[in-house]
Amino acid sequence: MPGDIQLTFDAIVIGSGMTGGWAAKELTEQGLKVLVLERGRMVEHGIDYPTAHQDTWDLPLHGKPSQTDLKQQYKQARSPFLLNQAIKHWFVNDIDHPYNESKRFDWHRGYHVGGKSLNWGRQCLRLSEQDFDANKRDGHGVDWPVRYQDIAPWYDKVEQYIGVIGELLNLPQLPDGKFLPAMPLNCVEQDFRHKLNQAYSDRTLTIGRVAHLTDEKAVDGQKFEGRSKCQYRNRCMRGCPSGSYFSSNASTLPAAKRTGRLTLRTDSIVSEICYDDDSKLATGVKVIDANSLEKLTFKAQIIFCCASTIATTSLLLQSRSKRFPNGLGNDSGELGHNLMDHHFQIGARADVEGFKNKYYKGRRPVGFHIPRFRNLEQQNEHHEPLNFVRGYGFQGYCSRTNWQRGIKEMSFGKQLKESLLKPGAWRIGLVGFGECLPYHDNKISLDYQQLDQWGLPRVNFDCQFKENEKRMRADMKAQAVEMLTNAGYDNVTPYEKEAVPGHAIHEMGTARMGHDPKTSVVNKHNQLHAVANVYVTDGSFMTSSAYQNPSLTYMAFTARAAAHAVKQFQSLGDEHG
Amino acid sequence: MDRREALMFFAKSMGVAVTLPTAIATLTACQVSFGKDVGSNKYSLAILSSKQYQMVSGISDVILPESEIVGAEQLNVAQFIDQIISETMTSTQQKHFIIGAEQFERELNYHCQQKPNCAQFNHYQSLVSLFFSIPKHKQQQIFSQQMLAIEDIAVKDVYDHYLYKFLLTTRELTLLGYYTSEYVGENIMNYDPVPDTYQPCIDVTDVDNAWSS
Repeated sequence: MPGDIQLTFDAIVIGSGMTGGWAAKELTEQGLKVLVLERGRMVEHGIDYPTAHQDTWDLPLHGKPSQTDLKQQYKQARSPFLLNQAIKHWFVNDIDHPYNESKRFDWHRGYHVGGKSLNWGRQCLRLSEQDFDANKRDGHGVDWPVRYQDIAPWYDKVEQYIGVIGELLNLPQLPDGKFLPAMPLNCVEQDFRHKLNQAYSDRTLTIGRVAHLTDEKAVDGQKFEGRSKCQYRNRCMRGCPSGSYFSSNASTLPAAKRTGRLTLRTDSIVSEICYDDDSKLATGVKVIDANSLEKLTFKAQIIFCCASTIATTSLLLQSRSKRFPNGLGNDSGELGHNLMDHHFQIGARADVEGFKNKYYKGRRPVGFHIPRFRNLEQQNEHHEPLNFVRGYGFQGYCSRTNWQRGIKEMSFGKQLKESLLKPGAWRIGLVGFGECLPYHDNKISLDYQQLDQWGLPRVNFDCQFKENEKRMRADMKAQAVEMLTNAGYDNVTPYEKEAVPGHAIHEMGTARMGHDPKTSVVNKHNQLHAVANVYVTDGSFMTSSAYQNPSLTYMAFTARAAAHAVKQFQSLGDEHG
Repeated sequence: MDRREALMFFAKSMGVAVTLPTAIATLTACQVSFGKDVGSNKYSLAILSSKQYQMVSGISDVILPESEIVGAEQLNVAQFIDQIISETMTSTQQKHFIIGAEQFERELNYHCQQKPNCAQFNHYQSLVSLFFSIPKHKQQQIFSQQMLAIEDIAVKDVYDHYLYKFLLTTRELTLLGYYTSEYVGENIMNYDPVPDTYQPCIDVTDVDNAWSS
């Protein structure tokens, strides 16, 4: 037993990323002594961003991944940009961290303090009333036990704290938030928006709603402690020294630290959540030190599972006991099932003639967004029926091409050299992001025949997109082509890459929220139905995926669950004394 | 395939109108001079031979030549290309590149023998022009063919496939090395690492060259 290690806390938060940071902040600020356990290494904000200020020529191989990288990170490399020399260190070595695939699943992970909050896409889109109502309405999955009005105040809270830019649109399918000033659209984006508005009554274009600071103060007048306005470098995924986009490292973890009630322990792999049959509560967690392999047990009255969807679900499945032989809180048998991810990498591109005398200054770190326009409640019966349920939105980009436009041709000489120094023609692209339905047979399981170096079972994925997603994708491609064509742009070209679950890095749903303990894993407060002091607030709890990027929703539910947990904790304290 | 057959094969595959006696005569008439000593700049080649390095350097000089603005050879882009091929390509990709380089070397020797008195730059200029100054539809065919696995290439096209693998890879990496070089990035293009502002619609004349990547 280590002599000087504190082993008992009020709350334990497993994971230090997007939701772990929020749980830590909320719980500590409300008076609890909190242990945050991170399985990976320390990343100090502003200090441990080794490539933040490097130009392309400063990077090894000018950014290209080496063969050594590709061999070590061979599954991470399925999204090639992840292995760019500027950001490859945020993703795991697949040889050290293997997993199995009954069907291909691209599991992109970062094991370090801050997790994927350091390299997320920063899109912050609220789910709407019709998203929370969707499962009940069309009979897929189970009903959310929460409605928009329940979570709206928590969206407000999170948006104001992290800082989200956006335009007010008053769309039922994409509720407005507490926005900082939007980043402006460039000339061609404005042109496309105008043409979309002319051609369609059901769709519009807006700047992406992202967690970037465009003001020194939040909507509620609070300062963004330790963070400053975006400098338009667009090197976000390397880690931002000025904290201009939201990450746990820049925002929530420092806030938790300022309370004096945070203990952050890195290199700590949680192997089990301990369950006590008498109290019917969790008592703490077992931890393996990733380096020394030392085993420790930490105790707390509240456990927050924020390790990311797959890691949290694996941990719950691993936490077997006489009461829970199939995993902690798994009375329903749904734990590990209903795995979802958004399907994307489909859309269209076009050339835009004109605007040759126009350009932009600064590297805006966000593209534009076309909110969902399919299968909306407010659409009347005059809309043609579609052969799929739910919907999708588009994220888009529009810029002048750079020197790379010269690659796929064969010119040479002085004229080539000097022409490629100039801004090229304008090019626009649309990328659809579509909702995935919850299917019971899309699942993960644990393989105890193959253990990792810490003696823990490997995760196996068995997940695929099905007919609804495939039909939706056909419409996504067709609509992308149609919109660009209607805008009068040239060389409109559809594109489609194979849709592979996991690729969007929005995996979710494997410990879903629901009314009924027989069909779901957590209740409306994110508590395991059967173990009231274990909260699951990462993507595991999602009952449906909607089309929106999910991190904002994870954070809002985490803040809400933390407030609930604190009340529970205080009532326990009152009971005891 | 013996030497005679090989000569006819590559001559035909390149669309070069040449009789066999002429080809044999010119092939033996001169040697290509690779004057630049790679070792002199203290760079140890990672994968290219000295001759291949000289060829890559020569081709890069044709693709992005010196003008009022620095050219690719002056920036020693060939060294960058050697590193990229060595560290980022699979062994199969490297092998295909080298086979293409060896074929280009034969083309160069042949060309040099035809015109023994012309300057070395002109040999590269002529050959790059021979292989790149072709109709657009032919270019597209070649790019499409480059996407295929070697097993899927018709025997008659294999020679061209390797040759263009070398030439197009050299061309692409010349562009990459040049436009992402420190010198061009900081001195020629518009270098603004911390813009601090976003102006969505400025006049292009305000900046002239594109923003540095």
